[in-house]
Parts: sequence; C-alpha cells; structure tokens
Amino acid sequence: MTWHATTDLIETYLDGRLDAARSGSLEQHLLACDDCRHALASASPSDELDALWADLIDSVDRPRHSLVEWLLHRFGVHAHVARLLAATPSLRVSWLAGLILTLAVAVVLSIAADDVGRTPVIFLVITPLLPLLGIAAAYGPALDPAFEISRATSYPSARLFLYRSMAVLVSSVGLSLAASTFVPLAGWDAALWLLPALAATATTVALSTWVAPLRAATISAVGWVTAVSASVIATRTDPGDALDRLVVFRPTGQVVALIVMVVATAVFVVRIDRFDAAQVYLSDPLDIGA
Amino acid sequence: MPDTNAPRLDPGAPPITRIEITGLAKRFGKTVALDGLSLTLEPGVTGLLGPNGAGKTTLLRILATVLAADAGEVRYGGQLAAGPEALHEIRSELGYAPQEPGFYPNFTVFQFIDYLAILKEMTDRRSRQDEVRRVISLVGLDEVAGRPIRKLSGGMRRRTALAQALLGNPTLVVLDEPTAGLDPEQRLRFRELLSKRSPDQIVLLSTHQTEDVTALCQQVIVVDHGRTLFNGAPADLASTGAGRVWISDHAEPTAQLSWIDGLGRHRHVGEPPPGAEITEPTLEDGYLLLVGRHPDAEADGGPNGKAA
Amino acid sequence: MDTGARRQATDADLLASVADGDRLALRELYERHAPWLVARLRHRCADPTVVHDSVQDTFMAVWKGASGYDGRGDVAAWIWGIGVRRLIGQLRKSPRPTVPLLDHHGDEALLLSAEEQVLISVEHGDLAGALNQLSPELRSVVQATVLDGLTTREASKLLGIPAGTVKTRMMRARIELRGSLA
Repeated sequence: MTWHATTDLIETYLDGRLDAARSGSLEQHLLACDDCRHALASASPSDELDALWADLIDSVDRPRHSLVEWLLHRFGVHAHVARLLAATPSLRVSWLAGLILTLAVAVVLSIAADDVGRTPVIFLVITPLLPLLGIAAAYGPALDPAFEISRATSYPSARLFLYRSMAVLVSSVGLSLAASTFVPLAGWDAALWLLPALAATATTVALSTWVAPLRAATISAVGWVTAVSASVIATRTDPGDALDRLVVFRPTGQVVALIVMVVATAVFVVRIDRFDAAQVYLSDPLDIGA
Repeated sequence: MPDTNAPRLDPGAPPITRIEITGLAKRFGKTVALDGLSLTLEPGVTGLLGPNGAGKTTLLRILATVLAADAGEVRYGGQLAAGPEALHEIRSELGYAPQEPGFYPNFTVFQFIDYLAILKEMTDRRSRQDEVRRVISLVGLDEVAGRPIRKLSGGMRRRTALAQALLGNPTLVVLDEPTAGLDPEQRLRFRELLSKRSPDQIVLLSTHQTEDVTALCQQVIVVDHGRTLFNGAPADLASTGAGRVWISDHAEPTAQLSWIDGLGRHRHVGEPPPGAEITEPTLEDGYLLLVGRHPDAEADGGPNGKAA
Repeated sequence: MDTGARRQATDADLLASVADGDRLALRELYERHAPWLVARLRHRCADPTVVHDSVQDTFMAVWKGASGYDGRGDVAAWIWGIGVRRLIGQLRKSPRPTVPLLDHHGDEALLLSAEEQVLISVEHGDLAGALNQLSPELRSVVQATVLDGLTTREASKLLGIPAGTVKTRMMRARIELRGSLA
C-alpha cells in the first residue's frame, strides 16, 4: 500500500466537502487500508461514536426474551418481574409441554371412561394436582439450581414465591380450562375441578409459611387424593353417577373448597412474614462438604 | 472491589460496621457442624482456615442468611437477622458466593449476573446493566460474557459467582473457597481485586490454603470441629509455633506432624526433643499445631461422628 | 487475548473471537470500523438517526453473525455489505426516503498538492474528472452500483427511484463516461 490519504483529504471528506470522485476513491481505499481507517477514526468526533457504542453494547447485552417473558410483558408485567418469572423452572417451555401432555392423557382417559359408560371423573381428580406440582417446582432447591445464591439477595422471598406461584396457577388453570372443553361432561361439570384446584393451591401457599413449598405441595396433594379416595370408598356401593356420589364434586363439596381457599389465603396473608424463616434449606450433611 | 461510582445496593440501609457471632450451633441429624462457635469480624479481609468438615461452609451459609442456626446469634452491626425488615436490610448489604454455585445452564454469564442483579432489586435496566458490566470486567470475564455458562470451565464459573457477589459493592462479602481451582495468574488477579476494596468492606473468605491467608488476610480464624481455635493476626498464628517447629534428616516419632519440605528435609511440629534444630515457624506450622492434621485430610471421627 | 494482542490482531482473528462471544473483540472491531462506516453512510443518507440506527444494526449483525464471514475479501468490505443493506432496510421503514446523497462538486478551498493530483489520476485515470462531470442523478447511480456494490433493486431502494430508472441512468452514465474518456 503506497498511497495513503492525507489528513486534509480525510477531514474534507468528513465535512462532506470532497467531490464525488475522490470520495469514491477514498471510500474504496478505506476498505483495504487499516492505517487510513485509523487516521479517519482519529479525525472523527468521539461523542457520537461513544453514544452509538453505549446503545450497541446495551442491545448486545440485553438478554433475549424468552417466549414466556414476552407473553408476560404483553400482559403488562414489569420487565424485571417478567425476567424473574421467566426463570421459574415450572414456567419453562419444557415444563409447560409436560403439563399439556398430562392434560392430554387425562382427557383421553376420560373419553375412554365415557366410552365404556363410566363417568369420566379421572380428569377432575388429576387436574387440581397440576398447579401443586408447579408450585413445588417453582421455588426451592430441588429444581432451582441457583436457589442458594438467590437466598442471599434482598428481593423479598415471599413476594418472589407468590409471583411465581400465581404465574404457575394461571398457566395451569388456563391450560386445564382449555382441556376441559374436550372432556365428555355436561356443561359446567367439566369445570368442577376448579374450586378444588384453587383450594389446594391456597393450602399449599399457606403451608409454605411453615414448611418448604415442596413439602407443602405434597401435603396438599395427599390431602386431596385422600379426600377423593375416602369419598370413593365410602360410596362405592351406592347407586348413581360418580359425580353425584362423590361429595367433593357435589355443591356441598364445592362450597367447602371455596371456604378452604378463602381461609388458606387469609392464613398466608397473616403469616407472610414467616415465609422466609420457614425455608430451611439444607438437611443433608453430605451436601455440605467443608 | 473499587468503590468508584458503583451503587450501594440500598442507600437507606445502615452500613454494617462489624459482625459479632456468639455461640453458634448447628447440627444436621446426628452430625454436629457447629458447636458453639464465636468470632468477630471487622472491616478488612479475614481468612477462615480449617480442614474439610470443620464447619466452614455451614458458618458461611449462616452468615449469608441462607441457613438458620439452631442456637446462637449473629449480629450485623448490632442487628439480628430476624424478621423481614432486618433481613432485607442485611441482605441489601451482602454479597455471597457459594462453593458450588448453581447456574441456569443456558443463561450466559451476563444474563445470569443480570438476573441476580434484579434479585438485588436493581430495577433500572440501564444502570443495572452498567453495574453488571463493571463486575464482569472486575473478574476478567469480559471475553466470555456472552457465552452460556455450561460452556465454561470450573474456574470461570467460580469467577461468575464471585462477580455477582460484588454487585452493588456490598459491605459484607462472604466467599466460600474463592481461590479453589484458580491458577497462579488468576490468584494474583484475585489478590489485586481484593486490594481494591473499599476500607469499610468486611470480606470473609474460606480457604484450605495457608498461602492465601498470608497473601490476602489481615485477620485469620481457624476453625475445626465446629469451634473457633484461633482468631487474630496471621503473624500471631505463625508465632504460636515459636520453638515448636524443627527440622531433621530423619523421621521423629515424637512429632505431632511431620512432612518432607521442598528441600528434602523432614519438618516437624510438636514438642521438639532436646538439641533439635529449631526453625522459624510459618503460618502453616501454627495452623497445623492447632488443628493437628493436614488441611486436606478427611475429617477424622471426632466424638460426635463425622463433622459436616 | 489481552489488550495488546487485540490491538495487533487481524480483523479476521477478531471476528473469530466475536463469533466466540468475546465482547472486547467486538469493541476493537467497532473502534476500527465504525468511524468510516458512519462517514460513508452519512454520504448516502443525510438523516443522522437513520445512519445511527443502521450502524447499530450492522454491528449487532456482526455480533450475531460473525461466523458468517467466509474469509474471502477484506472484513471491511464484508462490514460495508451489511451496513449498506441495513441502511436500505432503515430507509424502507421511513415513510419517505430521506435525502439520499450529499451533492457536491468539489471544493475550491481544498488545494491538492501536485503529487496528490498525479497519484489520484494514476489510480483512476481521467475517470475522476469524468465522474465529477456527470449530473448528480447519474453519478449517484454509478456510486450505488459500481462503488457500493449494490444490485439494481437495492440501488433503487437506496435512491428512492424505480429499478427501471436505475438501469436507464446507468446506461446513460456509461455512454457519457465513455464519451468523456475517449
């Protein structure tokens, strides 16, 4: 490279006062000559370039929004809360896919039951368990690898837990409602699981002020299954439709579920300050090392 | 940890001027991890030295409010970490890097640290991301900031954990084995990083390695079997070995501990026989005299079984 | 790569680092190439916001697509290819194409040394003079297709004229240049 642009030439070019031919010539040259690029850079005003860099690095560093984050944003959730929620293990696409699969299986089973003349109660029994699974996975060391590091941060843990649980509840209930439309039950009967689901969720959330969400969810799940099983066993020789026999799905049972939901919510609100202390983290000494 | 323009996490929180730990006890099932441990921490870098199973990690976890003790107190500038307001204030001035940091594997370094910055309540995106970039630079991870964490080596993951602990320039910095897995150049870098801390910062780091203490710490605490065995200046720990370290050309059955030094001679600590060639004690000698075994040895069976 | 090594590295090496997620390499590439890119795009579009966005998009594309550089030709030329197409994309988004070309006929105030005059004419023969004598419309077409390497379609988007007009003007420019150089 024997020809290089002079400072004058470069400055005239930058001012826009260089004729087209010589501009074109310089521009072609710049594609191949690092020294002249450097000279042009030195002659360029730095403010604009620095501002551009600040915008650029901001975009470069801005994490890609996951689908979940985008959806949350659309629903008016603050950007940083959406980020916190999107990191929830039970809101990940893989988890939601699993949820959909489970619902699909439950629907198929109910259709099968209906085909052989039995009432498809199985769907109504499984569905309230789904948000419980989600909540258990949403907060705690079991599925959250960064749990320990997160515990030491100042973001109120009860709030984080509540946000995540509500997000899980909404997604579970939403998907379950959609699945309900395929269940061969008349009218609102297909939604008889809703109040039990809300009651079980509220119970889990309330119990989380005493024990970790995983244990709380297990207790609620066991409670629900026990209630249904007891009901089934007690009435197995009774005549009539399963929906009529099982007290959990009769109006009385539904009202009880509603009451449980309200009471449990109140309990959580009252005990919310105890949530953090209830998250006893480790119990396994082998986990500890030195 | 330069204190230039870095934002304090919560400008309203009172700075933590010292940490007082009294009678801390913790057991996991039948294993006693902490057995009435007490110590004080002042601004500066304090090294927590102890063998495997001594209770260091448990202590650090309790200090970082990640774990609750069974008994005893931790006072942060006079305040207990009880109740949500106190916890919030204390955690606002706290940075913690665990020994085995867990990550969301698909997150990049930047994303992960940014996520933690959100959890540290830095809600304004621009200033938060500036701060994230600052700590990434501090630990020298600029070149891999955009890489997913699962593609990083163990040392780089540790540095990621270290970076997030430095977000917002917290007053109390708790680091569990920060130098493990670092090569000499990275250790030097870590030393430089520590030297840039602000004078009111209280840094507690645990380590196996006495050289870290000599190079980095103004204060050293030796723990074993869940108890404090020494709390003071590194030089004082070394001088506890005065007159109790000697060299010879052969094994000495009366020595408490013996090993072959770099020059091929036998070095012993314990009660020297008459006429022994006494030598200047190092910090390691003082430590070994206290602890009675080599730091990398497995925890022996103490009276309460294997210590955690 | 430390700072010294980064300064010495070739553009191709820096691109390889960028493909690996190295933000410092991106910074170095930016420092080398953003200034001329901004200037060159400003010579094609007077709106500073459009140029700003185009340059930002360009380096974002470099960040994400560094592995797309096939190693042939200068990295600068590759960056220009991205940059001018981003500019075109930006102009399409504006309701009206912004003023495409700064028209200038040469500056009386700039005195070229005799040596420079000789060198430039050696590089381009009388083409420089001939080019300068073309009307702005013809000149901009020549610049877009010949110097900037755009296709007829891209040139039409950049200049805000139909593709057919680009072709006719190119033909007329060729005739005029041949006439001037003859």
